Amino acid sequence: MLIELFSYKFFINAIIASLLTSISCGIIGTYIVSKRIVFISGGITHASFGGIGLGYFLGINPIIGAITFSIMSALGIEFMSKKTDIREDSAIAIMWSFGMALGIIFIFLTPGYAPNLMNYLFGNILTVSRLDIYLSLCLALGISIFFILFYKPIIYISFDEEFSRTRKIRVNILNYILISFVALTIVLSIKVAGIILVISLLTIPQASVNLFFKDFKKIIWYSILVGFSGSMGGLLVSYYLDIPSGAAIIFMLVIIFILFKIYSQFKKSLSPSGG
Amino acid sequence: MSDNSILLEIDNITAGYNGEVIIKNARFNVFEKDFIGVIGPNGGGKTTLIKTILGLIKPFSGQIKYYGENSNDQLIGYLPQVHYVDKKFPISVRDVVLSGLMSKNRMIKRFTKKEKLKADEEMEKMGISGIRKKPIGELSGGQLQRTFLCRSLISSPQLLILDEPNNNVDNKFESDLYKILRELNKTIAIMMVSHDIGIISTYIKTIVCVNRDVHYHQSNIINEEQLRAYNCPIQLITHGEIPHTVLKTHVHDH
Ligand SMILES: Nc1ncnc2c1ncn2[C@@H]1O[C@H](COP(=O)(O)OP(=O)(O)OP(=O)(O)O)[C@@H](O)[C@H]1O
Ligand SMILES: [Mg+2]
Repeated sequence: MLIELFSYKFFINAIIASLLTSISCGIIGTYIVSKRIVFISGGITHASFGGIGLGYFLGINPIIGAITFSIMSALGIEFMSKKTDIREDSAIAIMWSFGMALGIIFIFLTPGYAPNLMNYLFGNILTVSRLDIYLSLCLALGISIFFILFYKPIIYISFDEEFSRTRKIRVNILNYILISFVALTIVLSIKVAGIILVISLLTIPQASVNLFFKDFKKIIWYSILVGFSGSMGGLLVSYYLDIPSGAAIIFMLVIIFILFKIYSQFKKSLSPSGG
Repeated sequence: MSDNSILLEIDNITAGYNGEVIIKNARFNVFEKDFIGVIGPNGGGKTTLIKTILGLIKPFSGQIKYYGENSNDQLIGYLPQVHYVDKKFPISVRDVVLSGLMSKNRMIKRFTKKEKLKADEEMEKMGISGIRKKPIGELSGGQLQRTFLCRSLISSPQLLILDEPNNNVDNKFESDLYKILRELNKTIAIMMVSHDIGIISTYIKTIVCVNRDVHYHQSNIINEEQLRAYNCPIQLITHGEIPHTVLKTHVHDH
């Protein structure tokens, strides 16, 4: 029965998509969790809904709209909080709700029915298209290459931006590139978990791995592994129980987190120094 | 006047944030092997002055000229005021130390064997080679300061700037620090912000008073009256048995 599943094209596509998404989310998630910009990422996610609405309204692929909106809101938040005296959390809240509001207005104005709207909200990895896969592949490659080349400056500016400036690292340009990668990763993961749940793809694997490892590179590697395992598990559960894949994947990731947490508590209580 | 050659020329700097002037009339030079103590009340602008010198803040007017053999970005080593870093960040002691080697022109290049050895050497000197693989979240306040001190020294700067390095650390680190600074000062210039300047008055050579106005005091001896004249109302803290009288009560010709 399992073998039979693999003969389905949509299932193979779903596996490839979750692998690519796990790679991007493993790297970018480690960045946002370490730098504590999860809230910014939440803002970008919801702002992208405006682009999805616009896509429906104009009759173009909603993902294109979402990419545009998410990058613009990401750069906007980075710019507003650094170059103006608007507080960063306020800038995020503005983008967050403005994007959602625009999305709702556009969808309301679109004549007729907005097909697949639920897939964007809740995710459905079984509907990934060939275009989605190509885009995810480019993104995973782009992020990997960027992080391999600029690994040192990336962790140094994330750890201590001001000191990095005294060393004359080009902090601003790196930050703008990184936040754009965050935006792209979010949008291309929407098909997997949906706008409502996507942030957990970028944070739960990292939180689980962080229980055992305190090294940036290791957190990346193991988060990719945890993310992919969770996606596979969720995919199977969703197929057999016939429940939405996005929710099933997040459910699996949370289970993994809880198991890891229990194991780490257990290990601590065994070690002589721990309590 | 100094026999040593000049490193920095701070030429009538006015600086601050969002258009608001915080420090003004900063006008002094830093020479090789100087040891400048920076004093002033909380919020007086000491950190602002230092950030301006480091190029983190653009001055509203005036300019800073950088001399010295090293290129600009290698001239100064910097130990920031401690409480701004995220201790949960997944980075090891060794990586923090190595980050002091970054510069404008080496964003991609790996660290060479020689540079890694230099890092090991600095950590050895500072007594933290045993914890070099540890994540910084597991360090004590003193160990963290030692790590940051290594980071500021690994680029072999000609001027070391320290912003209240003796805040929130144990006495052991504090006394080690003064020994280290005294040794370093044989070859490089040091500029150090401190609230209890009394304790280091034997090391420092000159004093900068910062309370919005910036005054350069060409001596390590200062009395209450001069502080008043500089509009610099700091407490000259007394420290148990350590002789600090140079600062507190010295009577000298004006
Ligand atoms: N990033 C900033 N934006 C706006 N104002 C600032 C900023 N940093 C400091 N200030 C203001 O500038 C003034 C001087 O601050 P600064 O940190 O330079 O003082 P300080 O002498 O270093 O004080 P402390 O002894 O407490 O470290 C303060 O009034 C402070 O509120
Ligand atoms: Mg300060």
